[in-house]
Amino acid sequence: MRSVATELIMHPASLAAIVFALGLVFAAVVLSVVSPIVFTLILSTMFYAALSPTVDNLERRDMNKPTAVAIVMVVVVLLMLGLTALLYPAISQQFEHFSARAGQLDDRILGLCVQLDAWSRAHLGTGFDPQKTAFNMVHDLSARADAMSTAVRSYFNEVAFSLLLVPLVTFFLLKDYRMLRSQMMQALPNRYFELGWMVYNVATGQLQNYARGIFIQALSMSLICTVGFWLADIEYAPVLGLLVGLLNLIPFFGISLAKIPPVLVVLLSDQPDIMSIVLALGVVFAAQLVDNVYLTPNVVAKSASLHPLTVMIGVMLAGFYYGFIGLILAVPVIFSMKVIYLELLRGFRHFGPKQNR
Amino acid sequence: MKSESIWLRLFRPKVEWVEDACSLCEDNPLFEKVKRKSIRWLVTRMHPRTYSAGEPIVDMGNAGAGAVLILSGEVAVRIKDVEIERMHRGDLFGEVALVADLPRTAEVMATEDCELVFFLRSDLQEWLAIMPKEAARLLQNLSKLLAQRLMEKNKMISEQSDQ
Repeated sequence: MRSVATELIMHPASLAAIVFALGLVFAAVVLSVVSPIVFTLILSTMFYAALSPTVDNLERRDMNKPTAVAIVMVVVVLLMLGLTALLYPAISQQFEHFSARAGQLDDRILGLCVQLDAWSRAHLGTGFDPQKTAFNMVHDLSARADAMSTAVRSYFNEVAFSLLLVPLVTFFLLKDYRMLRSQMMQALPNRYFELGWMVYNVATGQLQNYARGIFIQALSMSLICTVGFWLADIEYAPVLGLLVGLLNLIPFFGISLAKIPPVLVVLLSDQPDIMSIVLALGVVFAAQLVDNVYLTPNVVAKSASLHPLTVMIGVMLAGFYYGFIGLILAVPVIFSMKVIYLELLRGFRHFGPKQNR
Repeated sequence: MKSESIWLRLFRPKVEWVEDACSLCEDNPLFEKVKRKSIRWLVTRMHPRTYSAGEPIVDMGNAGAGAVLILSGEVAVRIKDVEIERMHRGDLFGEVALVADLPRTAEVMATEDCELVFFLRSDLQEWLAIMPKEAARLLQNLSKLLAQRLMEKNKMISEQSDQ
């Protein structure tokens, strides 16, 4: 008869917790070692996920793998170089234009407050102190904009640094990922070999669905906002659309953060008026309505069922420790941890060592 | 394939067993009419494992991740501690797991040191996505094998009921 301690350790929940904890320790060690290139690895993995179906497709047409990978990578690198050469001058010109206007933010907000005060006095018979209100608004906006610009700048600096390494890592992932994965799985003991593969397959399947959902959500939000801003005649529509799509990925806080960039752009335009601000906010509201009513319940929520409190605490902590990247990655990481633990538990419960062996 | 440490296992070149496994697959009815080139492609994605005598390979009731090909050694197939079959080099067991996540219907244990190759359901699904025609041939062969087994079982049950 086995002791109570052995029974407790051999319980599926304990086994799953032990393996999960060991996995976390291993992941933490690996992350601390690869921390300087972690962003490169994330970006390369995303490219790998996007490009591997094309490589498979070429392989299906009787092309050997190294040639297929080389062709795909050459095409992608040429496309990226071409896009950078085409878009960089336009984007940098827009940024310079935007920065030059940012210097006149105080005057523009003051002008807007004066307009609003005059309209309010004429139509409602009451007014406010435009100078005081403008000062408060500028103070509040600049504090938020400073925090956001620091976070976004560090994010884009990392992107720029990573761009050099990404094609190389993606090439090797496309060429050898499956072999490396199999060789890593070979390290499992015989008893857990099949279980390991089953957990891996189910967990990666769910994570892929979730990643696909998030990607569709970000892309749809970016497209809706870009078209909306363009129809509302708001400047920098594509960049703003992309930014709102990305900010919207941040749970809870994203909803309010996503409204800041379009309002700032309207305030910094040549003729800032109330109608444009209302339209800009209307576009974001409409996009978020589509997101809440259709995208989140149908595309994302089916694959990620996390408790709101878990998400809120996770997002706050990730934002505190890892900044903008932490805010974006908090939910995917929490979701991955949940899926892996539950799959381990399911595996040990149904397919692991028998309780009374 | 001797027992070896994890760090050596990670970087072990696969070629030494691939040719051997390819020849065994070619002779197996599951791979009938599948081109050698496709078999080789598939075998390079399979997973070699070594088992010592007396070590359980498959537990009855547990879900299976795929089929197992015997490269060397001998295994015993048991149902509730009753041995029903011995399998040797070239034999393949656990094919049902290639198509469904169902519980294993028997227990398999190594009776001597064995070299086995696991052909997982995920490998088959990957193969099906990349080489659908060849994979369809294998699935057709698998259906034939399973249908044949079902017929044999039915015949056995009907003979038993006649007695």
